[in-house]
Amino acid sequence: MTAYILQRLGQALIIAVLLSITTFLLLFVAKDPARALARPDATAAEVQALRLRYGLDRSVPEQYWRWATAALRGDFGTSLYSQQPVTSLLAPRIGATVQLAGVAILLTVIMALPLGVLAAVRRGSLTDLFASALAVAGQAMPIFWFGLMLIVLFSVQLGWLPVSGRGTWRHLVLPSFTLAVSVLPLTMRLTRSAMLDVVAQDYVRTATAKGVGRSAVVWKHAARNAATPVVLALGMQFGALLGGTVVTETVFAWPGLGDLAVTSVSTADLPVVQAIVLFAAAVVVASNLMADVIVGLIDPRVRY
Amino acid sequence: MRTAWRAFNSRSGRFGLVLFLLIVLVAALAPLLAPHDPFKQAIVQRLKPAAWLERGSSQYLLGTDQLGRDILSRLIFGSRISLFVGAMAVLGGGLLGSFLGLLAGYLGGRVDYAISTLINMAWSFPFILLALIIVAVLGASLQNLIIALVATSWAAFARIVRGEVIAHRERDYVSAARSTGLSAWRIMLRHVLPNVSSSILVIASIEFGRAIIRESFLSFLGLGVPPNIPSWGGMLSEARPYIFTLPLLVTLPGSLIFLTTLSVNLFGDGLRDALDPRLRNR
Repeated sequence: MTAYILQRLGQALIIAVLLSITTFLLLFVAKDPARALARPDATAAEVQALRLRYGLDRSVPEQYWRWATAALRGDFGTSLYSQQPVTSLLAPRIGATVQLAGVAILLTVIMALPLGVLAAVRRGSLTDLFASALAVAGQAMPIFWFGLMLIVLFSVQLGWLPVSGRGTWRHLVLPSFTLAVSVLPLTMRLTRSAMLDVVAQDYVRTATAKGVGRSAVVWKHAARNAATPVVLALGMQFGALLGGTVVTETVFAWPGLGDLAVTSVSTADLPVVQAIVLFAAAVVVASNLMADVIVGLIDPRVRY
Repeated sequence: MRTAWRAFNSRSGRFGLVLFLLIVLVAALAPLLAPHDPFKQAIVQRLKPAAWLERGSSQYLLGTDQLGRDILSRLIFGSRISLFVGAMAVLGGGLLGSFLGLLAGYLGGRVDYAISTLINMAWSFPFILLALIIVAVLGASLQNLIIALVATSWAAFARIVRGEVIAHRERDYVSAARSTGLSAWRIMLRHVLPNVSSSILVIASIEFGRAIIRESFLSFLGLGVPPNIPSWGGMLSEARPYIFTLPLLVTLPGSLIFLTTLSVNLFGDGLRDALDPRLRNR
C-alpha cells in the first residue's frame, strides 16, 4: 500500500506542476498584471515602474522559476492587489471555507446515506420515488439560484435567517445547506445503486434465511459492504464541492476561498490565483487518495 | 435516431423530450411570441410588478426590469442564449473530448499517458474556477464564454470514450478489421467510433444541462454574455438588488434554467435506460 500511495503522490506532483504552469501562462499571456495593477489612467512610464518593481519585466520562464522555488519553501509571494503576503491572506479564507464545506459534507452524509439506503431497500416504494425525484431535481438545479430562492424564502419572507455574511451559526445555515444540495443528488444516487448491488448478493439472503433481523441485515451486512463505492464517490466529489463553494460563497458573501478566487481572477492578482489553484488541486488529490486509503481500511478485500 | 426514439419508452424520458422541444420552439419563434421588443428601454415604466399585483399594468404581463424592459419578452429571448451556448459547448466539447478519448483508448502507450494526464488534470480542478480564469483572461464575450464551456466539458467525454474504446479494442471485429490491413484512423473512425456513439449521446445530454447552468452562473457574475443581450443568468444578476421588493424577478429566470436543464437530463436518463437495460432504475 505504501508503494501505491507513493505512486499516487508522484502523479499528483506532476499534475500540480502542470496546473501551475498552465495558470501562470493563461494569466500572463492574455492579461498584463502590471496593467491590471495600475490605476486606469496610469501613464506608460508608471506601468513600466510597476513592472520593474514586481519583477514582471523578466522572461516568463524566469518568473515562473522564481515563483516555483519560493513556493516550495512555502512562500507564495505577496498579493499584487492588497500588498499582503498571500499566505496570511489565504489562511483566514481557508478557515471560512473549511467550516462551510465541513458542515455541508456532514449535512450531505446525514441526508444522502439514509435516504439512499432506504430507497434501495424499499425499491419502488414512495420513499424510492421521492429519492429519485429529489436526485433528478437536484441535478438540474442551478445552485446559485437555489441559494437565492432560500434567501427569498427564509430571509426576506420569513425573516428567520440573515441574508449573507459570516458570524453566528445562523449565518451558516443557508450557505451550508445550499452547498450540500449541490453534491447530495449524486451521493444519494450512488448509495442507492451500491445498496441495490449488495442486497442482491447471496450472503444477504443467507443472513435473512438464518433469521437475522431485517434492520441488522440492512445496516450490518448490506450497508457495510455498500460503503466502498460510496466512500470513493464522496472522495471524487471534492472537486465539485470546491466548485460549489465558489458559487455558494459568491451568493452569500461568505468570506472564503471561492469568494477570494472570484475577486482575484477579475483583478488578475496572479500570486493569489496561483495559490488558490494549487490549494484546490491539492485538496482534490488528497481527498481522492484519502478515499482510497479509507476503502483499504474498511474493506479487507482491497489490496493495492 | 433509432436509439433516441427508444427513449420514448420511459414516461419521464418522453416528458423530458417534449418539454425540451417546447423550449426549442419558444426560442425559434421568440420574435413572434414576445409581446415587446426585449431591448427597448422605457425608464418611466421601470420596475413594474407583474400585471396581477398592485401597481401592475396589463401591458407588461410579468412586469418590467430596472431599465423598463419587458420581463416576459426578455425571458422568451433568453431561451435562445441558453440553448445556443449549451449546444455549442456540447458540440465543441463533444468533438474534442471524443477525439482525444478515441486516440488515448485505441493507441494506448505514450499517447494514452499524455491524454490521461490531461484528463486527470482537468478533473482535479474545479470546473467553475477554470471557466472563471478563461473568461477573465480573454474578456467577457459570447465567443469566449463558449471557449470556457468547451474547456470545462471535453474531459467528461474524453474520460468515458477512452474507457469504452479500451473495452472495444480487443473485440473480434477490431482484430478482423486490423487483419485486413485497414489503417488505424479508418478503424478508429469507421468501426470503433460508431460503437461508442451511444455513450457519447448520453454524456452530451448531461453536459448540455451542465453547460447551461455554468453559462448562467458566469453571466450572473457579469462574465458571460454582454448585459444588454437577454440571458437568464444575466437577468438573475440584474434582479438581485430587487430581491426584497420584486422576488419574481429572481424566481422566474432561475425556474426556466431549472426546467431546461431538467428536460435534457430526463431525456438523457431515458436514453441511457433504453441503451443499457442493465442500468434501468439506477
